[in-house]
Amino acid sequence: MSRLVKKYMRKRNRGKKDSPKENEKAGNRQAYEMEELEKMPVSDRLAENLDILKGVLGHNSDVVFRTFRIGLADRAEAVVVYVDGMIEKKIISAEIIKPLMLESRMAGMDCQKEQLLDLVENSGITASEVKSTAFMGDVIAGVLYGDAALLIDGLGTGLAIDVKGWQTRSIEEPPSEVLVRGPREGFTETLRTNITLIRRKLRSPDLFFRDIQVGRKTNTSVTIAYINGLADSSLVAEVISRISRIDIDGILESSYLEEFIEDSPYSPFPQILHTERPDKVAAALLEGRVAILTDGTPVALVAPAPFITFMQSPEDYYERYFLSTAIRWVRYTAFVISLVLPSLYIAITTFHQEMIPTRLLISLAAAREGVPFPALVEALLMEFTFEALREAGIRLPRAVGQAVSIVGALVIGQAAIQANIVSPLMVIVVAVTGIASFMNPAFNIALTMRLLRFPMMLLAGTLGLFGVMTGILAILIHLAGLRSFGVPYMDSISPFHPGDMKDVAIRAPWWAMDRRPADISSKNRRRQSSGLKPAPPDPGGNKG
Amino acid sequence: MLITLLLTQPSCWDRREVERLGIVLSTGIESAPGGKVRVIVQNINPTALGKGGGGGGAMVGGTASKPYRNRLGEGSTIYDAIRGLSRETPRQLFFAHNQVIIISEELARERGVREITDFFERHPQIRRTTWLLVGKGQLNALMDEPGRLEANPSQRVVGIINERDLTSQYAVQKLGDFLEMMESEGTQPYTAVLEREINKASPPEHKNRLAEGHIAEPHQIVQINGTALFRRDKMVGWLNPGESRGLLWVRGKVKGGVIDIPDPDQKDRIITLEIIRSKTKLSPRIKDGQIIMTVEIDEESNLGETTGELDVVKPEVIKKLEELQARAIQGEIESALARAQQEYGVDVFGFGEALHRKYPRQWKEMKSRWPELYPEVQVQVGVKTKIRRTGLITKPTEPKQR
Repeated sequence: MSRLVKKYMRKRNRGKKDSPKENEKAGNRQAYEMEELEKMPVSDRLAENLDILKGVLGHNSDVVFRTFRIGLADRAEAVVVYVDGMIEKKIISAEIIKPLMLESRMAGMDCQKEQLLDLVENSGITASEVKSTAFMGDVIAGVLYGDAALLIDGLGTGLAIDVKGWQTRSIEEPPSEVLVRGPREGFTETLRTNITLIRRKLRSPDLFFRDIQVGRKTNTSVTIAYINGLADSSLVAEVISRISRIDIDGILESSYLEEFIEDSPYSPFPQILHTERPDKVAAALLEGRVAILTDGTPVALVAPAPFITFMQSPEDYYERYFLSTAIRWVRYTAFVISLVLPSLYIAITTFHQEMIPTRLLISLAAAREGVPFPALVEALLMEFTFEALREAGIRLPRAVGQAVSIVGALVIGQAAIQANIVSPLMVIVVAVTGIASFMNPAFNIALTMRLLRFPMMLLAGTLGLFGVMTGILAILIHLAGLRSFGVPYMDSISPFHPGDMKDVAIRAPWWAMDRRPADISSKNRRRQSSGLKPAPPDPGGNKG
Repeated sequence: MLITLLLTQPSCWDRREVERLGIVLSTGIESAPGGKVRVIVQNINPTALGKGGGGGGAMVGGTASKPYRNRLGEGSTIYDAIRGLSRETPRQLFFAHNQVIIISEELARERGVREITDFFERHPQIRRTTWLLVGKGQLNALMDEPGRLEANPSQRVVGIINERDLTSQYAVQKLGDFLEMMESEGTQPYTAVLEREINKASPPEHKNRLAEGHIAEPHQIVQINGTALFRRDKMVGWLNPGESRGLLWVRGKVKGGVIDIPDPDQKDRIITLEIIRSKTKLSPRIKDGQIIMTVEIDEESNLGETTGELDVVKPEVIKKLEELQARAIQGEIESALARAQQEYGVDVFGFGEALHRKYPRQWKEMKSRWPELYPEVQVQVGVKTKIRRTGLITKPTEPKQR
């Protein structure tokens, strides 16, 4: 079955020819080719159709074939096919079988075979969404996505009735993006729910959702969301074309897509923002960005995502702007610290002791007295331990995770210093770096810093500050050349847009941020009317 | 490939871990017989300093360890002497944190400092912000005076210098500034003098010498005492603390300190004023071949203490005090002039430079005769003072009988 669906999908998405080898294999095992199925019309003889369906789906234990006689057209034989667990059984019995089997007979409706389709579709089935199709391929695809297929003897058309209903996780606060102030709902694994969450925030007819199916075997629905008129149409076209060219067996998480559609696959920096928050997606759409929702994961992608978007937290916009501005600068500082602090420490203590204030140097020398390793080895050791602890802490169940953190605090913090394996200052450096890297609102760019820290430390340990500068310059040059869906990665800073500084250097109050980011929504930049700055009522004015 | 080479081949060639450094905090230079120099470096012991909780008698393994070691080397040059020292120091001497250079008075007077300053200018580790001092007496004794708050003598000296504005009674120079002055034709260098004194806080005999926890006060202390004056690179004389402040007044470097003036009504009572800020303007004039230097000083002070009765509410009392203060400042300047201009004839005041700035053309032909012209310069001192605040009380508490 799965092979057939894959073939079917491939045909549908790309129209590309199957490799002869695969064709051969499939041909040997299955009675029907997907290409064959797709072109195969639904026969007006039910027995034939059932043969095909049973051939394709019959060996699956979760596929149910329910045969019955309808109360129309000489008690014609009919079959409902569905996948158990993906459907709402009540709907099938109450809105498909019952009306056709009993109520139509009681109502005394009857007809000739020519009118059968019209009668069944428009007067019989009471379910809300019914699609008719003439091809077996569509029938099978529908069944696999939670539709019930209705085939009636003597009718050359299959009906796919939407009866989807499976177990889902409820809407919860996204654990990876917790805010103090702001909406508490997060995306779930169900695409429809996620779309609803966005639609509820943007009740505008301009909000567009476009669906693409990706994955030969998983047949995953991917929805592209944008606001018509705000998002550049060329950007939307680019996103669609990049997603459409993906040909993979499965999409299990949006990161699969991310790796297929980013601009520079070899860059350590993420070029697409991801989030679990509908409010963050809505804000991005309002700025003219495009969101990509993937069925089966609560993580939505947002593009284009220049560097600065990874530094912005939704909370920045929900808290007072003075505080948000200050926090933002703390975040920028922490970002730099998480990259260079250990390497600066290594460079200065092993090469540039003249830069350290005398008293600090003395206490440093005293602290390092008896430490057997050079600073570089010490730092690598500590960073490695820290990374290991962090990874262990994340993966372990919560109860065990605590034990790990105790071991980390005691063993690394106390014992290592007392055993003179590392100096206390190095522990401080590693701890501050760790805290700084947790400050980042975007987890993926924090990971980048975490990774780049190690080459930076090696550079510092071999070439000193010269090496650190080389590393920083290399990173800056790389960033300057990077693009996210055609938008320069360092957008707003380079190329410099003074107007964007309201949301980069500071977080300006909402009444002052009257324009959208310059390079994202270039044609429709005004987001509010001007002169909205609030003021106390004028005592001399009309209203007194 | 390139990256691999880059990472492995340089192999940290100039890498040195902090704990492998012999951090030098001060350097003393003396002359040694046979035209040689004797170098004393003060090498700190970080363990005793860093972990001892702010220094002092840090206890390591039950015994108090000395926070520093002085090492003495002799050689025909300073570099020679320092490298010679590596035969006894386990760690490479590191001069980037050298904070004080002490030149013995004998060397400064007889051989001049020129022959030793080259090393300090040339060596990349030496900072131009290092304090330069002249040390009286044997340097090894001067540099080995134990302390309690600042365990090693170098940090103690730096601590004293950092608080120089509390007295303004010595004029100290950084190495770079000293060298610049030495090079200038319009001024002569000067710097402060470091001296050992008897510690009067140490009683001649201790009755409770054996009491538990008792550590005797040291018998001697190290003190900065006045200013050494140089002609070019040779030291020629010395200003006492009062005269030193006269020099600083002219140089415009008085930022604090106290002035004693007599009480206007009771002559035997003294009033102490605390200088809070001052400004100096040097304006030279040439009139009929006579060089006249006007020194204008604007000074502000607070009333610090009085031993007599004083009613500071009355403006005329304040006026009187301001006048007396101006006279006192003038007196300090005149004493410095008497010493430096008349007795030693060294232009430490920078009159030549002021003249150079105002009369660049005349200076060209004057500069060769400057040593002869300088003692003839007429100095007119004008002092304006202001008393800003008088403290928390207006009248002193009076003991009254009842």
